[in-house]
Amino acid sequence: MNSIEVSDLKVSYDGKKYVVDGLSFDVEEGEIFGFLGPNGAGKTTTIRVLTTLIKPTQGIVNVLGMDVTKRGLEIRKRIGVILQQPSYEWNLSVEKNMYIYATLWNIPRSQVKKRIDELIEKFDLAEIRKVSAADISIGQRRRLQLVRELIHDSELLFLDEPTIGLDPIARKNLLTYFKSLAKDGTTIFFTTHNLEEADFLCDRVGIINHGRLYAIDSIDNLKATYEGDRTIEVLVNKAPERLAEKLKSRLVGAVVDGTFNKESPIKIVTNKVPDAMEIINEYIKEEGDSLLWLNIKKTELEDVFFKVVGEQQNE
Amino acid sequence: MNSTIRLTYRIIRSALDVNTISFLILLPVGYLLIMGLMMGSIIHSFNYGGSNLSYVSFIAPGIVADQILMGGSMAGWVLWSDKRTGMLEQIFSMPFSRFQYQLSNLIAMILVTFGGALIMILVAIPFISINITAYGFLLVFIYLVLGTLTFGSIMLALGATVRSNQVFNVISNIMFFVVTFTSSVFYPITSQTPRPLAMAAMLNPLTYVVDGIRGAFLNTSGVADIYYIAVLVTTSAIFMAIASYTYKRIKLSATV
Ligand SMILES: Nc1ncnc2c1ncn2[C@@H]1O[C@H](COP(=O)(O)OP(=O)(O)OP(=O)(O)O)[C@@H](O)[C@H]1O
Ligand SMILES: [Mg+2]
Repeated sequence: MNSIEVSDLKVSYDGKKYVVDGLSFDVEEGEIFGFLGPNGAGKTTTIRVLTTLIKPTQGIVNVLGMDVTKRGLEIRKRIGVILQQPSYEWNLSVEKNMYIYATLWNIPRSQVKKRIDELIEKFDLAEIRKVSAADISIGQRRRLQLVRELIHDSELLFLDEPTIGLDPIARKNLLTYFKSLAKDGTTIFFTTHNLEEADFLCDRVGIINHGRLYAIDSIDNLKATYEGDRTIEVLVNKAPERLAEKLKSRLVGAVVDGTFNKESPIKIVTNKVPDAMEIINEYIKEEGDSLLWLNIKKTELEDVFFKVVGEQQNE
Repeated sequence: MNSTIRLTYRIIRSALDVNTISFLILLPVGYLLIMGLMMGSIIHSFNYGGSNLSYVSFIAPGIVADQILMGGSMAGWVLWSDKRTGMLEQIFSMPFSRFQYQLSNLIAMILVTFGGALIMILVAIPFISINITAYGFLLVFIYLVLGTLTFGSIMLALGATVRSNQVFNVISNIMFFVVTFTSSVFYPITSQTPRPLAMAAMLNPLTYVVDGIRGAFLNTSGVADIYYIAVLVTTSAIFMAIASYTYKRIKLSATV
């Protein structure tokens, strides 16, 4: 069964521009689905629709088999939401923040203390347990926000860049915990900018940009698609546009970023590094130019975006 | 436990802190003592409704009404603070309706205002001529509820619409000032009141709150209360509807 079904979702905040522009995807029950995309891509907006915070401008969205526009309250009873926006009760201690949250979720009194003590222990909050949320660090507040959501059970958990600001140990600890939740049947919808994280946690990812899905696949398949690709960054002095032109016309299957200028390098994603080097050399000889910067690196998430989006534009 | 009660509990526990609540509850007493002593030293007593009344006795119900206004602004302020700390968006993603949040906010303010009024009445008894009956007490409570629903909803609508904290503060202060001074809080509206002021007082819901509470304090309530209550039920309904409309359209993640 599908926990999330999205069909041709469009969202506009101002009635003019669609910031989510025709998304369609499903998330299966028990799956960890990663939603990746650059700033402003529409990830948070999509999460707001799925958590019934805003209404879709167009399209059909079902969460746990219910229409988000009609059965918001019932959906919200069964989901857990960690928003990108930090939130906390500023004048209460960490512990009291958790108690109030338990009250809001109507957790039976008999279970609350045990549950909160366990979570405080597990996520290393004992030291700041009695400290006011106004007086703890930003990362600690994020931890409080995450741990608080674990007080109640949820069938489906939305995590909007949950690990932002966390130290590596806390990060690992939480991701491992989310993984164990998924093993017990919780479905997780997760956004991140960190490919390693997505790699560790997700079964499947979608890459979104400008409100559209450009790729949606299992991590393994995506990796296989870009295996062998390298990102070359090259900065030259005289005529970067001529070099870019050369690379574009002669490197089959490569994507050349068109946003370069005299200060920022030309970026090429290709699996034919030697060919690219030859073209660069040829250009330098022909123009009598000099090489100001050259960098070859393994393709990262950013480059995958860039390639996915670039290919889309070339079509 | 019912969702609205849980939300109300949260607002009293966390959105309002202990200092704010104590301040709100003790404010009317302080206000009464200062106003009573200060104004009472120049205006000893005057004719009100056919009998001689000391100014401090006249002003006591007005202070309860002012307290209601204050509670109303607090409702708006709580909304603001929940927006700023991100709790509003979080609560909206939990199993509550937006109307429940609005209602719980108003209920919290009714409780705080009622606490303040109760303490003030107890402290004031030795100083003022008060002749309140059990029925009068019920009336005070009704006016307090309707007044808070009206002014609290106005402030909630403002808090949901306005995007900057300063604008919210400025508007709520101006409103506090205008609403108080164009009502019968500080002076009775009589045939000698300048016409524009009398007109303004007639259009001002606070006038009905004050006159109603004053009648209960002085045990002169009567058929006029039906009219007052009808007016206030109408204003509550209108402003609550406006507030819930603004809520539906509230901009999320308004970080300040
Ligand atoms: N409340 C809002 N009102 C108007 N426009 C908004 C609002 N929230 C977001 N937007 C716009 O919608 C677009 C998508 O924003 P969204 O927050 O969904 O991006 P995102 O993918 O979550 O980005 P990030 O990685 O920075 O969190 C952006 O262009 C943003 O400017
Ligand atoms: Mg976002």
